[in-house]
Parts: sequence; structure tokens; C-alpha cells
Amino acid sequence: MRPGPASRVAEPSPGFGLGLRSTHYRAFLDEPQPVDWLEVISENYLVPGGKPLAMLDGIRAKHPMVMHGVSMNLGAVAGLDADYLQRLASLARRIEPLWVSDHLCWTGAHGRNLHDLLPLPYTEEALRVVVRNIGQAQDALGRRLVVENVSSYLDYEASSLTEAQFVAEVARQADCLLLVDVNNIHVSAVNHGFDALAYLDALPADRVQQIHVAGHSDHGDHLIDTHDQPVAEPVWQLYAEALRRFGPVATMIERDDHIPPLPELLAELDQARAITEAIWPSDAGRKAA
Amino acid sequence: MSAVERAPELLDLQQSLQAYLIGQESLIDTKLRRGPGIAVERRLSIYHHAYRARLQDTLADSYGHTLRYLGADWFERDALAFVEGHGSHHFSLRWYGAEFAEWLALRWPDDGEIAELAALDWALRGAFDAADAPVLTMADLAALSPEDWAELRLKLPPSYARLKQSFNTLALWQALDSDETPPAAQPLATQLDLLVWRRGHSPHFRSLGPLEAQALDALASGRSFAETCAELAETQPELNVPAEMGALLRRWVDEELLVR
Repeated sequence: MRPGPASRVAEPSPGFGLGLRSTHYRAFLDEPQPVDWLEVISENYLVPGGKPLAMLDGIRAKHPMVMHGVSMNLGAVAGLDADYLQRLASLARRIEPLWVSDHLCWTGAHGRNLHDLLPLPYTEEALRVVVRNIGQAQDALGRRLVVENVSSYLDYEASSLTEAQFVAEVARQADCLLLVDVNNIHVSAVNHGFDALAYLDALPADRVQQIHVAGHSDHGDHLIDTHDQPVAEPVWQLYAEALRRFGPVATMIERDDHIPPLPELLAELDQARAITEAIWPSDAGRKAA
Repeated sequence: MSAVERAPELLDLQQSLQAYLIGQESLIDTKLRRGPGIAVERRLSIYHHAYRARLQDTLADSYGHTLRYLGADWFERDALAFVEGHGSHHFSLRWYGAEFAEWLALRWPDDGEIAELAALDWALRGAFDAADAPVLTMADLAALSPEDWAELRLKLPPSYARLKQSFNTLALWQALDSDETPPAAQPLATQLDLLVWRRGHSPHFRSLGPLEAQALDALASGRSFAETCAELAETQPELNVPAEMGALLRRWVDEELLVR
């Protein structure tokens, strides 16, 4: 059964979106595109001025946006970077996003940024750090943060919880929302040998605000989360399973490299719409209208 | 209570993985679970490779003409050597590699044009997303009273930058930019002053003659237009400074080099 409005912490879905990439700026400025919203990488617009911000403002005038960051460093033992949070809050005031998200990971220690989404150990200690840091972010932004599961290739000896248990506990204790990347779950499930459906079952459905659907590359004995390929069939299947559990959640195709022409991504987005339509007929119909 | 005491195990794991990633000694492999699937060493190497590849790609993006001049293999080798010695300390990759031109100058002491190309790449990158400012127009100048002119301080845009070149780097850059074979690198008889700024959304650059270079230096240091003219008249008595400055002023306004 779909979680009813009274029990949902997440906001109702605004529909189907794409990640805004600079190669598609003109396409979004020049004519209306069949997307309900766009996700922007926050760091790309934390610059003083010039074309990036001009494009952002121009496209924002035509499309609702959500902000997606990669540098919050939620696993930072020393706490979050207050200057970064201030800039992020300022960008949020500029484009009034539907929500703001970042990743459940760490990105560096002692002032260094490794520019990677590194996995956390799933321990009570890490949980306390992350929950405290999400609180700091939510205070700075004045809204619930949306937190995304990352793909991983490592498993720490110290972990006492499963990844899904950890994600669920973070969401409950920090009172935040979730961005479920079903490609990341699939990649990690294959690489670590866990059950992707059990992972979905463990998540709090009422806190799922957004779903990322993406592609990966297959290296035979392991998968790499490259986000540079069309969505693979097992990921579409997992997406359908996620929808059955979480309801008709806002969905986005996330392509980070080898960006194809916009129509290819719009076709993938139509596939997401069709899957949602099959599972939650009235909702997909409403957004397509 | 210090942050370290609050989460010593988490910090220890982070320090171990970070040390491994940046090429220092690390015990990270003893802290990882050896489960099904590929070996721990291959799992670690995925992150090791990704860290370097991401920073190398960032340098390739920011230093496109330098890459074309050196060729992909040499550039990749230099970028990797730079990455091994230079971490990122900024929240965004946008600012990674600010010291690359200086570093190239030391790495290629007999080929000064390489560092000059890199410095130009970086300056144009900086102009691209420098802060916005409303441009000064001829109408703005026409509205000034004689008293205003006496006090006038012309403002340069946030994108304004200056470089000096001792080689025919401009010719190299232009050939590389049009995908042509660059001429042989050659030292110049006299150093060239270069101006970098942004017009609309596009970074621009051009060379400066001695008078214009001196005039821009004076304006950039905060001197008024009248003071700048007086200074030039003193140092360049052979020139008709008011006429020269009038022509420069029109050019600067046309080129959107002055802001309100």
C-alpha cells in the first residue's frame, strides 16, 4: 500500500526531472522541454559570476530546480564547513529550490578535499557524527536536507550495521529526507553481494523525496558507478521495486559524463514515466498531462 | 572536548584511507573486510585511480591549450606528477590547479612558453566566471560635468587580469585554438604586456602597447583619470597624451573594459 499523505514526511512529488548540464543550456533556454524540474550541481554555481550564473538564472525562470551538492562532507568529524554552508544557503535564496541534497559519505579530512564520495563505516560513532552534521546543515539551510546513498567498493571491518540500516537510522535520527539512487544500490549490491530488495525494504518509505536512475559500467567481476551510460535493465527493475515501496516519487535521470543529446535523456525519462504509470496510474497521468 | 575525541575510530579510518589515496603509508588494507567478490587491493585501487583521474581531468579542462601544446601523453604525465604533490583544499574542483603554471615553469626551465600558455589558460578560466559588474557606457561619460572629470576614477571589471610574456606564446595560443600546428617557440625581443578580461560571457585577451599598459597600471592602482594623464605626460613627453588617452578611453568603453 502506498504511504498516505498523513504519514509522509517527504513533500509530494513534483514529477520527473533531469540533471542540468552545460551542453544543454541552449536547449533549455530556447524552447520548452518536457521536464517538470531540473537538478543543478550546487558547486557549479558557487562561483562569483559570468555565464554559469547567467544561464542558471535564465533557466530557473522557466523551470523549478533542486540543488544537488557533492562537497558537504557529511562524515566530517570536525563538523561541516560553515563558509560552504553559507554559500550554499545563499545560492538557495537565489534559485529557491524545491529541495537541497548531498551525499551520505565523507570527502576528506583535515581540510583536504579528495573530491570523491567515500563510504563511511556503518557504526554508532559515525551515525552520531552524521546526524550532528545534518543538523548543522538543516539549521544553515532552514529546511530538511535530502541525503543520497552513494555507491561503494569498500567494506570496513568496523561496520556493525548494514548500509541500509545505517541510511534508515540517519534519516530517522536526523529527521532528514532521502534521495535513493537505485543505480548506486545495484552497483553496491553486486560488488558487495547484498540483496538490493532487502536494502529497499529497510528504508523509511515516508522519507524518500527523490530517486536517481543512472547507468554504470560492467567490468565482468565488478561494476563501476560511472553515471556515463544509459540506464541498465536491472536498474529499471530495481526502480520499479522502489516505486512499489515508496510511492510515485520524484524521479531523475542522472548522467554525469558522456552527456548525450537531450532527446536521448528525455527518452529515458519517458521510460521512467511509463514505469511509474504502470505502478501508480493516476499520478503518472497527472504529471504527463 | 576535541573533535578527535568525539569520533576517534571514524577519524582513524578516514586518515588511513586519505593517506592511502594521496600516496602516503597507510594501514587501510588491515581495516577492510575481506568478503565475496574482488580482492581488497583491487577495491582500493578503484579509489586510488579515481582520485588521480578526477584531478587530472580537472587540469585538462582548465589548461586546454597547454594540453594541446604538450600533447596528451606529456600532459597526462605532468598532470599526474602535479597531482601527486598537490592536494585540493577547496570545496570545488573549479579552483584546483591554480599553481600549475608556476609548477610547469620549474619543470620546464628551458621552455618558458609552456608556463606562459598555462598562465594564459588559467587567466581566461578566471575571467570566465569572475564577478559581474555593469559596464560603463559612452552615455555615462557624456553625463559627466567638468568637475566630475577632475575627480573621475575609472573602474576596471572584476575579470581584469594582466600577464607578461617573454615568448611568442600568443602566436602559439592562437594556432592551438584554431587546431593548427603552432610555430616554433621563440623568445621575444621585449616582454609583452597582456590584458585579460571578459566581454559579455566570453573571456578575451589582447596585447598592450607601453602607454596603455602604464595607463591601466595607474588606473588599477586607484589613481584618478586626471592623475593618470598627468603621470603619462611626465613620463612620455614625446606623446600627445590627451589625444592618446581620449582614443584609449573610447576603445575601453567599446571593449567593455570599464565598469560603473
